[in-house]
Amino acid sequence: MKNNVLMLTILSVLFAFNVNAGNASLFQFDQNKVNAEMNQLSKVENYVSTHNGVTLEQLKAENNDIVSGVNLTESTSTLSALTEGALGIPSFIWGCVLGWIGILITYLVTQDSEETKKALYGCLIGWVGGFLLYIIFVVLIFGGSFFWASAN
Amino acid sequence: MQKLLLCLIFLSFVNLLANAQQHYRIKSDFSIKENLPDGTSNLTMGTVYFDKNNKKIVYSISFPTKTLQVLTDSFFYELKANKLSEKKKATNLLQFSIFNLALSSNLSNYGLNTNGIFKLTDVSKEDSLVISTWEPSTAKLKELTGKVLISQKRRLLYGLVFFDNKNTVLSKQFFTEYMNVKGLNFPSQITQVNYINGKEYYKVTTYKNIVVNATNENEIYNFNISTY
Repeated sequence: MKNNVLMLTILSVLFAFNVNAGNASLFQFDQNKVNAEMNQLSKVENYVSTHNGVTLEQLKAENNDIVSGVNLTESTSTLSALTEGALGIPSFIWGCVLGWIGILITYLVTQDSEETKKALYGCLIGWVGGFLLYIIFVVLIFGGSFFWASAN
Repeated sequence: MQKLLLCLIFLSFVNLLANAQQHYRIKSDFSIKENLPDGTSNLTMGTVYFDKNNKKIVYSISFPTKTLQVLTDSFFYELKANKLSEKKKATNLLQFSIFNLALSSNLSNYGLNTNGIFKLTDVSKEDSLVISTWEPSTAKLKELTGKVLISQKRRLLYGLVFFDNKNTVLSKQFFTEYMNVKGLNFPSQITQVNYINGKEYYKVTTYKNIVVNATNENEIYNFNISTY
């Protein structure tokens, strides 16, 4: 009896530990990977910091090497940061990942037609991407079957 | 003994005064670096001003183009070359901005305890993290969205993980390199990781030269958008 109780206790502790361990691991991210991805942008950031008042248009006009390796957009990021809709996640992503549910969440939380439109675009792109993957999958499967059937 | 008692009363009084100090303004230089799913990148730099009493966030942007963006509790405005170029509805955004959450002492739980959409269902401690689980508050919301995990490190917000209703991670945010300015703890770096079609996309926001409760620059803190 004692052994059973001890075993149950150990199992409970292990189970609880595993559940918590899963959650804690979600809060890990690779800072080096992020830094590597942002390396070129950081170089531009440092350049702009030391050249007060310089704009992207000026850098492009003078063919500055600092922006040659990065495809920078003219739009500002704060706009998306401020209006990135539900729970700080861009509306585009809501639509792209969750489809019509993402559009609905965006509409309900932000009550903004522009954000809902972004979610709709995300949804459409998600569907198109999914459809293309499906076509590739079908071509690979049936193409492969046809190849092997011909070979035999 | 009497001196010790007096000393304790004095220290308590000082502590009360310190706690009573209200943070109502914040200003900071910022940069936002972002890589986007379409292969482009974005770099935005400038200075941000927020006054809690005036309910306005003003972004004075210097890069990529000189722009002024103003967020009120109901609208978002953009001015280019001193002319209004965009106006759009922006409900609830100011309330849940990092500036308002920090100045209202609600940043540690990202304001989820005040919005009514989520309810706290679990709290656990692991290593240096205190992790709280927030579930959608109604069955209808559960059909639409998933849970949110919030972690705190040394009582400061460290990470957020957003799930969809199928328990798949949508996005993560990490709040790091906190600075203490006039008793206000503010993260000087926010790293967001978005997961789209199995790929990670990053957005890194950095704050520098943070000023709290400045009494100058009233014109920009209380920017009069109605004249545009």
